[in-house]
This record gives sequence, C-alpha cells and structure tokens, in this order.
Amino acid sequence: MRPDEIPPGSLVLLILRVLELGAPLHGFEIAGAIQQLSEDVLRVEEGSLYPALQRMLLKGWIAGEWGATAGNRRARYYHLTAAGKKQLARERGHFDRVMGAVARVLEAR
Amino acid sequence: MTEWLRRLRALAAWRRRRRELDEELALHRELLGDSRKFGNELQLRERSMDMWGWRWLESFGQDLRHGLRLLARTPVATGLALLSLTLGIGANTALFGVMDAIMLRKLPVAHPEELALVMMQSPAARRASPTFPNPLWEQVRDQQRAFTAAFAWSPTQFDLHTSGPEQRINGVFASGEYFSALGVHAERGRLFQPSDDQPGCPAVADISDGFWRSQFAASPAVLGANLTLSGHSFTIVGVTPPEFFGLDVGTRSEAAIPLCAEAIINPRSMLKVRDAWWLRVGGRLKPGETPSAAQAQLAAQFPAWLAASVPTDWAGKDRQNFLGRRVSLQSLELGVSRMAGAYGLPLEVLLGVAGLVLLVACANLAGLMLARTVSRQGEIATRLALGASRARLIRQLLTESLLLSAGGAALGVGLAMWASRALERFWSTTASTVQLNLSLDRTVLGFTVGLTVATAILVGVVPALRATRLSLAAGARTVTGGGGGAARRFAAAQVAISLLLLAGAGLFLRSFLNLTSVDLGLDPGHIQLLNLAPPASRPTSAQVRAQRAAILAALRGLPGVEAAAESFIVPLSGLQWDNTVHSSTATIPDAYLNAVSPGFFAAMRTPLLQGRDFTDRDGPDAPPVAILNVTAARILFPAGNALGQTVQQPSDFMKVPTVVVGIVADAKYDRSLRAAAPPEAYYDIAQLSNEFPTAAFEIRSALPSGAIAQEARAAMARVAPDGSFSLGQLSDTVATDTKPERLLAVLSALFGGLALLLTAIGLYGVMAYSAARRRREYGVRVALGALPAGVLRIALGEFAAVLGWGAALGLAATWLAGRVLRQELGSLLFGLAPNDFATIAAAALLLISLGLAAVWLPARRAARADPMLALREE
Repeated sequence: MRPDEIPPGSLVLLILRVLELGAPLHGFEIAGAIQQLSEDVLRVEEGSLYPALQRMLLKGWIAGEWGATAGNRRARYYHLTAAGKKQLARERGHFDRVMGAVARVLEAR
Repeated sequence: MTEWLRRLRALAAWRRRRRELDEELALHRELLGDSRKFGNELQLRERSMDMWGWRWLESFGQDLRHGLRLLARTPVATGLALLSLTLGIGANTALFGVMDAIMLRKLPVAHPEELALVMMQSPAARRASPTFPNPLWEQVRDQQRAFTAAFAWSPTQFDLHTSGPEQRINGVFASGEYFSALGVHAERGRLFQPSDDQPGCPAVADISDGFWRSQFAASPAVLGANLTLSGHSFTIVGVTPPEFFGLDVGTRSEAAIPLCAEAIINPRSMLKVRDAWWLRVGGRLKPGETPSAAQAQLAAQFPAWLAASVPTDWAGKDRQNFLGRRVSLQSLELGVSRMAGAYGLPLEVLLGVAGLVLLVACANLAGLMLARTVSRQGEIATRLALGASRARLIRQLLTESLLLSAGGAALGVGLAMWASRALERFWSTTASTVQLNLSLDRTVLGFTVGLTVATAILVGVVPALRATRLSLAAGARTVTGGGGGAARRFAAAQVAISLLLLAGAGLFLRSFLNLTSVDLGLDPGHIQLLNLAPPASRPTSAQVRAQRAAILAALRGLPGVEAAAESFIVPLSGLQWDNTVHSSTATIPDAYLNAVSPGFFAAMRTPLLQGRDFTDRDGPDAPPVAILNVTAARILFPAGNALGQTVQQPSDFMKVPTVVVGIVADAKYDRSLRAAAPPEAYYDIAQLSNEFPTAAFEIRSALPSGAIAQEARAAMARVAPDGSFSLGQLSDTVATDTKPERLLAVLSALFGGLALLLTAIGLYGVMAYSAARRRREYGVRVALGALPAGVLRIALGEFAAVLGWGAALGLAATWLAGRVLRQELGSLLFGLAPNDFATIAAAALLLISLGLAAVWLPARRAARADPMLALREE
C-alpha cells in the first residue's frame, strides 16, 4: 500500500513524539520511525522533514549532536529539550481536542 | 529573545550550518538508496536554511556584490557620481553638525533643562541684558528663593605670560555655587565651592581636562601645582570633566577661578562697583517648577535688591531707570551662544542651499542611472523572463543606488570632519579661538544616515521602476526608446534648482560686496593695534599715565609710522562703553563713549568737521573738553550750535561737565556695520578722573603688518618690559564683523558653482544619450537629404524645451523663495532686495548659456555623424 501524506501541521508533533520515545535519532531514523510506528501509513518526505527540523532547532524544541551511525558515518542525532517536552504536551493536547471534535462530528447522527 | 540569539548564532556560523545540513542530506539520500528519487537537493537545502529567516540578508549580499561589479565596470562614471554625492552629503553633514553644535546641543551637565538665565531690562533700554554688577548678584545669591541654587559667572581671558606678547586662554570667573548648581563633578581633585568664594579668598583655580592634558601632560601632580594667570599665581585644586566646556557655546573655558579672585587679577576690582555690568546670573529651577513661577518669585524680590545695590551717586532719571529694571528668565538648557544669534539664520539658509545641491546631484545621478538601466534592458528582461520578481529587481537596482549613496556618505563624513574644523578656524580670530563640540553624536549620525537613505531612494526609485516596467514589453525588441522623457525631466529639474541656487549666490555675493564698501567713517586699512593688558602689579595712577605716555611716544617715533594714538576702546572691536549724555535741553540715554588721545581722529582718518581735536594742552589740569560726532551733536544741540556748549554724563570716569570743542564725522563704533553710526561722545584720555585698566594703541603705517608688529614688540621691550600686550590689525576686526556675510557669500557661490557644474554634466549626459539613441533617425534624415544644420536644430530643439522649462520653473521658485523668505532674506541681504532683477537675470543668463554649451557639443557630433555608419549598425 502506498503510504499517505502526513496531515498538515502534525509533522512537528510526530517528530517530537518519536524523539520522546527513547534514544536520539538522526533525520533518516526519524522518518523511518514515523513510518514504522504508523505501520507504513505515514510517510515523511525529506522535503518537509529537514525544513521542519531546522525550524524546531530555531525554536529550541530539539537539539542536535553529531555522532556516528552503525555504518560509521557522521550523523546529527536529535533529542528533545525541556522546551520541546513542553511543546509536545501542548501540541498533543491540541491534537486530542481537535481529533475528539472531528470524531464527534463524524459520529453525529 | 533566545530565539533571536539562536538566529544570530546561526548567522555567525552560516557556512558551517549549511555544510552540516548538506552532510545530513547526503546521508539521508545514501540511506534511501537508489530505490527512490530524492528531491531537488539544492532547493531543499535553501528551504531548510530559510527557516532561520536570513534570506533577505543573503539576497542583499548578492545584490551588493552584483552592484559593486557593475559600478566597478564604469570607473569614471562611478567616480564622478561618488564625488558629487561626497560633496553633497559632506556639505550637508558639515553644516548640520556645526548647527547642532551651536544651536541644538544641550549643555553636558545634569538636567540642563532645569537651568535658567536671568535677564533684566532697564526702562530706557530696548532689549533685556544678561549682565549684572556684583553687588546686585550678591543680593540675588543671598536672598533668592526662586531656585534651588543660583550662580554667576563671567567669561574672560587670561594671559599665561607675565610680560611681552600675550598667550591668552579662555577662562571664567565663577561664583562658588557654579559647579555644584550645574551638577558638574571634579574629574580630579575638587571644584571650588561657596566657601572658596569669600572676600580676600586664596587664589585657587580649576582647569579643564583639555588644558590639563596639553599643559600638564595629564600628570597627577597637577593638584597643588602653580598656574600663572594674567601675572598672578594660582593654585590648581581640581580638573573638570572632559565634556564640560563652560556655559558659553563656541569657547572652551580652560581655567575657572572664584569671583572673589577677580580682585587678585584686576587691580581695580569690579566686585564692589555697583555699575560695572560684567556677571551673568543663572539658576537651577526647583524640580517641577515652571520658569514663569520662578520668574514671578524673582520679580517680587527684585525691587528690594535693586534698591540695595543702586549706585550711591546716581540720581534723577538714571536712578529711576536703575530701580525700574525688570527681571525675566530665559532657558539656559543650550548654554549661552553668541554664535547662535549671528550664525543661526545664515546656517539655516546654507543648510537649505546644501540640501538643494544634494537634490541637484540626485537628479543628476537619477538621469545617469536611467540611461544605464535602459542600456541594461537586455539583462533585466532576461531575468524577468527567468522568473525573477519585479520587486526583487527593483530591490537590486535600489541596492546599487544605496551603494553609491553609502559610499558618498562615508567619504562625505570624512569631508564634513575636515570642513567643520575649517569652519572653526574661519570663526577663530587671534583674539579668541572658537571650539565647538563637533563629535558625531546620535543626532548628526541620524541626520547623515537619513540623508543617505533619502539620496538612495531619490536616485534609484524612478530608474528602477522605469527599467522594470519597460523591459517586460521592450526587452525582446530592439531598444530604441524609453527613459528619454524622464531623463529630460530630471535635467529640467536640475536647471530649475541650479537657477535658484545661482540667484541666491548672486544675491549674497552682491550683499557682501555692498557691506564691505560701506563708509565706516574711519579707514581700517594699515592700522596696527596694540592692546595693553591690565598691569599685574598695582602701579599708581601717575605710573600708569607715565607708562602709557612713554609707549605712545615710542610708537610715534618708530620708523614708517605715520600716526599713532591711544584710546580706551578700539572702534569695531566689540567692546563698548555707553552711558547717558545730557545737554541742557536734550538727553541721549545710551550714547557710545570713548576716551582718546590727541591725534586719534587723524590716525583713524575720521574727518574733523568743526572745531578742533584734543591737544596736549588739554591735560589733567585744563578745563574738561569733549568731541561729539555729528549724530550726537544733532540730538543734543538741534540748533547746530554745539561748539562751546557743555555736556554732562554720570560716568565714574568723567563726572564733571565738559565743553564741546569739536565735531567729527559719524564713524562706526559697535560691530554692526549695517546700522547707522550711533551717537558718540569722545573725551580726552588725559582728563579722565580714573584710568581704565586696559588701553589700546592705534598705529597707522604703510609698512607690512609683520614688520610694524616687530617694531612695536621691540619698542614695548624697551619702554614697558613688564607690560603684557597683544597685537592685531583693525582690518581683521572688520573682517570678523562681516564673517556671517562672507560665509554666506563664499559658500553659496561655491554651492551655486557646484550645482551649475553638475547641471552642465547632467545636460551633456542626457543630450549625449539622446543623440546616441536617435542616431539611426538622424542617419536616415541625413541620408534622405537633410543638412547637418537641420539635424542639429532638431537635436537642440528637444533641449531648448528642457532649458526653457527648467529656467521658467527656476524663476518661479526664485520668486516664490523671495516671497516666502522675504523677512529672513531681508535681514541677511544688505543694500539689495531679494527679488533684485539684475542678479536674477544674470543668473538665468549664465545658466542658459552654459546649458546650451553643454548640449551643443554632443548635438553637433550627432549631426555630423556619417549616416552610413549609423544605418549599418542595425
């Protein structure tokens, strides 16, 4: 099945979430993690991933550190900052509210 | 906040950031493998980096580099453009900086807005005066309740040498409250205070930071060191902060001594004299109190102070006038500036003129840019076609004009520094040095930056709009038209503004010439002046008289000296002695007085019209005599029978009635050459009841001034080795008095000439451009049988309109300026009206003939061109 585009506006939330789950990840791993956790439904385009990462660096939600990959290549590993955790909570709350509302509309009779 | 910090950090490491992103993207692409297509990596990188918000800066940098390359490609045109902008922006910055220093800067003291200057006005005087006698000041000091503190000061000059030629510095006598009331704190040591300002005080002095550095090499040992001021020894107790120059704008007070020390410097101290007007009085308003409330408070107390300090021997009208003096307050926020009065309006006018010159330069460059952008149509059209936005292109073209104006501004600021120092030197005389605070403060920098941006916009906007509008349609076609109309309009604007400037320059030049040819009633040429400073010791009256007689005799005996005389006051020097003079029937409330030796009028070449000059027989024991000028004689003795009558004056120096023995022609006395000579009364210097502390000698000689000065110095060393003196020339004094007019005339002529030159260049450029554009048309005309003269007529016809419109607009602007500024110009111009026909007509004629010459050359070249060459080109 062909993966779907990520709903607009939720990319940042997804990145924050996969970084919250555990070890720091580099860009490719973030895209992979989102795709995998969504069971191949969501696919992250690098065209939106890297601008989003730069923007999150600017906002101070994530920080990057250079490390080595398994294949011994240099890569930038991102992790959540304290501000990022707060932002995740905020965005999550927002998302839940919106999704609940959407669901209520859809289930209305 | 922190976000901005991150942004800035990203900018600082921009290249590294981009490299890191590239690395990340490369890894991503590699990990993806070939299975899927990676997007446009370059675009992705740019979009990612855009998140940091520095896109505009990057494209600005590109524009800058592109602009610099283009400007470097035409070095001559760029150089000319830079030169005209340098001159334009430099002149404006210099004039504004000087104006700022003279008229706009607040005093560098605590809360200058709270400071007020106390003025008072006698019922007999036309204007309020800022000077007080010391006894009246003491009343103010001890009784006033209007201010948190009152202070008094008197600007003066001290002589650093004890004998021989003077080395004068500006200084101040200041009351004990001066520094504390101003809120000035010592940089070193201590500043004197009320306890230092008591009768019979020890001789202490505070010196300026600049003086400390220049005379004491900034040595810490300066405290307690000795300083000789006008022959008396003072102990230095403190140094004032570097920014503090005193309260008199234009001078820097190098040494301040307490008022009480005036008695040390002047053998005839003015401290107890009730009619010696030498102190300025200021005060600091109570916080939150309005000047009018303080003024009311002072006014309530003032009559009592006047009554307590009225000169004991004044009676009748004089006493009434003294007691009737009214008090008023003026802001002291900007300090006291003599220059603001004399130069305020001329500087404003000159700044306007310089602004117009810059406008001419802008119009000139705009025309040039227009021609340049039209020839770049190919480039612009291509870029538009490739998807560049119009806004982006306009921004780029504006960046180019900003580059030019910023370059001009950078050089202009350098020019302005030099020019404003030159103005300081122009204003300084041997007697007094003008020192202004010319540091580039925020006001001046803001002015220059604003000017630079305005220049860039004026130069760049029209060409940018035109070029980008044209190109969409015309880019693909062969370029034949466009921009011609706008270029001609710019040229016409230059003609119009230049005409206005030339007319103004003509008016100011003629006014200056009128002023220098005014009949002074005396001949200032070839008069060497010798000013004798007050003696340091306290000689007796007889010693003083004997020494001055010896000096006069020695000067008269010098080879090459035609005549020499002594006087209390040198005419036109700015010093004045005035008092009431009565006859039995009439009174002159403020006659100008002078005390002169026999031979004074002959030396000054002031014609003696009736009666006789003073002679050696009019000694101290002979009956007191006076000489009146025509105006005084006419007022006091309307019947015309002045000779032999008596006049009386309530002066300390000539108390007894005097007999009029002569009448001299009206001669200028005060510094206003424009006004008619005032009523004047002269007394024989040998008959004064008191000597003045200073004396001046006038020496008429045809010898070069350097030679006669040297002779005079040798004579002084012979007959008065302990005397301190200064030398000068009367013609310099006159030149000083016409300085505002000279400044206006010279600078407006300079600016007018510059505008004329720019306009000629502009006209030439537009004509050459137009001729090049229409070369094919001319070629066809010639090929079809038109004569070169006919083509020339067509080419010139286009420009007759430019010149005609420009001149008509310029005349209208001149007329309008003359009407709107009638009052201002009327006070600046001497001996001619702002709408003087001959001057304006001459300016128009000069401009039109030069303009025709400027377009003639390229037009003739166009008409003579070989038609075949022009036609083959296509």
